[in-house]
Amino acid sequence: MTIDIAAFLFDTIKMATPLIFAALAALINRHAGMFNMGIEGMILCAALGAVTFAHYGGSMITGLLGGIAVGILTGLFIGFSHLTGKTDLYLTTIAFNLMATGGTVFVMYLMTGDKSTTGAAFRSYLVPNIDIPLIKDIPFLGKVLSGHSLLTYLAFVSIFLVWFLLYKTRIGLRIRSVGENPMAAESVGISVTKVGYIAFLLCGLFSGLAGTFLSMSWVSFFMKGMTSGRGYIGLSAQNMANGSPLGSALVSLLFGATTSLATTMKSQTKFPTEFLDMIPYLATILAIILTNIYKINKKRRIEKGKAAE
Amino acid sequence: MKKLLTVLAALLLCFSLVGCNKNNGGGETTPEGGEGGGEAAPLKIAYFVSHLGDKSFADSGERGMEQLRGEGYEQKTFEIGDDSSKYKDQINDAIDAGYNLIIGSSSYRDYCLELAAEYPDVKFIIFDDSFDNIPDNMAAILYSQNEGSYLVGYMAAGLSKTGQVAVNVGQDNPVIADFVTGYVNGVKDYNAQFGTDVKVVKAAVGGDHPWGDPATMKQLCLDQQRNLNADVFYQVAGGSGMGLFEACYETGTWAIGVDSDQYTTVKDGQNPEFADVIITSMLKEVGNSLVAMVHKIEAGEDVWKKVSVLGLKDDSVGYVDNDFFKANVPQELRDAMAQANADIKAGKLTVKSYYDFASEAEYDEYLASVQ
Repeated sequence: MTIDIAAFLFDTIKMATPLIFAALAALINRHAGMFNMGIEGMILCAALGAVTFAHYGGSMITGLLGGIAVGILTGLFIGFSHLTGKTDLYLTTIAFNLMATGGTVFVMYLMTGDKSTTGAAFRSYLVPNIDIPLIKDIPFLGKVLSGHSLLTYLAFVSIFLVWFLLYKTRIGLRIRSVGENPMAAESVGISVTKVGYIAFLLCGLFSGLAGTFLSMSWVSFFMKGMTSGRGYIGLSAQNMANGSPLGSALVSLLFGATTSLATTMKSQTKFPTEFLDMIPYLATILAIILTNIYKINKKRRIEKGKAAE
Repeated sequence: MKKLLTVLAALLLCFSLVGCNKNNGGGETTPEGGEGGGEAAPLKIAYFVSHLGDKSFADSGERGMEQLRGEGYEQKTFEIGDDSSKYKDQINDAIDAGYNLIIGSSSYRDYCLELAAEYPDVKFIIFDDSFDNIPDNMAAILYSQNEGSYLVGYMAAGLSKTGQVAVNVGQDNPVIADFVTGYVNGVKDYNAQFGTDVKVVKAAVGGDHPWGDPATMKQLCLDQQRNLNADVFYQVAGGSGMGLFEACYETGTWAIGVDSDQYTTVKDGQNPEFADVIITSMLKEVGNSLVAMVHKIEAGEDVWKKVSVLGLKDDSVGYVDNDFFKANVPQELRDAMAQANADIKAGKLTVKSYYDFASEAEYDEYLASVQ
């Protein structure tokens, strides 16, 4: 098997990008005590929104903003049903995902007369790829780190922004306190509903970026069902990392790496495609088991230490 | 409140009566169709697809249906989605509504087989499939996609500067394997003729949406371009193929389209620059073949209980020979392709088919011989 390691690492980062956005979207909601499964559908809506606004607005910028706006709108829509309408969040998000699957095709058909892709009817705009001035000249590292989409760099910056927001700002503290114990938060005068809306808004923002990356960076058009479960993977990535932004990013990178490896193996090995499709998921489950074993052992050690005292 | 309930109940009754009435109506038409079966009742054609708008397979069939409607046939196309658990019921509904010629691709074969036994007076056409024990009221159409693929494979080998070409599919199945077999055969024959050693890499998109995941397809092609230096890519992957065109556009390599003339489709769209990598397309004229089949049935030809194999000589498969193709493929190569085309049509040259292999292992071996 011939494999260009630099390109492999480059792809790992590229494939992890939508997952990182999805994981960040999910973990903000999680810290506010809400397990939002609707991210898959939100990303799908945003992916369609991005190409639509790019086409009608005639530029990449309107597409980027449109994608984010649609992401935020869908987030607020779920937030509205859950927080104001008091619906069950699981049922709402499951219904929302099903609605997004059909709804995006319907809206696309109304706009383009095409039921599978916007590729023919909408002009394509791409979020630019950026060459980083100094790094791009470093032999190996330059090939791995430079030349990514603007959104990829934004994803990595976002990891630290979200960490900062959650652990270093007042609103982050409020989000976490609502997640820990809404009653207690309410009793000291924090509006659970308001904080919930902020969490859904931020979740929508990152879902919007994930969708925009899929339809305006990875490929340059929208296609029905193009998320292919990436929202769910992001969701489980943050779950594995217990809601830690950095941990979620690492899990996303692990998933990106295994997917990238499986892609190469599809061309160069005799393994059945179905088996290779399984690898990223299998690796994720194994990683969850291993991290959990590690955590349990650590807890046991601490408890033993306490008992010895 | 009570009044409202009464009105609602009345409405409910009304609607249920209307429903009954409709059912009765439907029930009456079926026996009529059955009685008329002896002296050939007028054909009412139902064409089943999961979705139109794929720019290739289903749409090509729909063009044939348009032609039939233009000829005055009563025809309706049913888009029945991806949920296969509902397929049989939906086809059954169409039969109950009086449709007596059911057309569907291999995806609907099993449901049609069950229904064919239940409704001996209804006729079925299953296309893009080959199978045994075909009932009396069913006809099957199989395309020699291997013949068309042979020609584009031959061309790909001639065009490649790096000595590595690719064929990327949505998912492996017998029909798709037939495409691959023909393509590999074309490359092998080119190698034998010119003493070259062009290799073929084959991969499948797989996953949840094998025919609609352009992102994965694009990644596959970029990967093959980088690691193996592939420079001609043949897509047999429906909607995923768009990802292949984008990858070729980015890396400056050649793409080969499938099913319909994808150069024209893309050129007419909003992003015509992506068309400038599609050197040609392997044509599979589903629509034409269905029209021809219906005409044969009307003429009383015996097409039932067997598989009709349609290939180059029936103009059911072929390749696009447009100006872009002429401008970019060298004259000698085009002549050689035309020669091979004529030889196959005349029966002088037989293209290897997937259905010739005795086992899956033999097919794998065949692929391995050019890897």
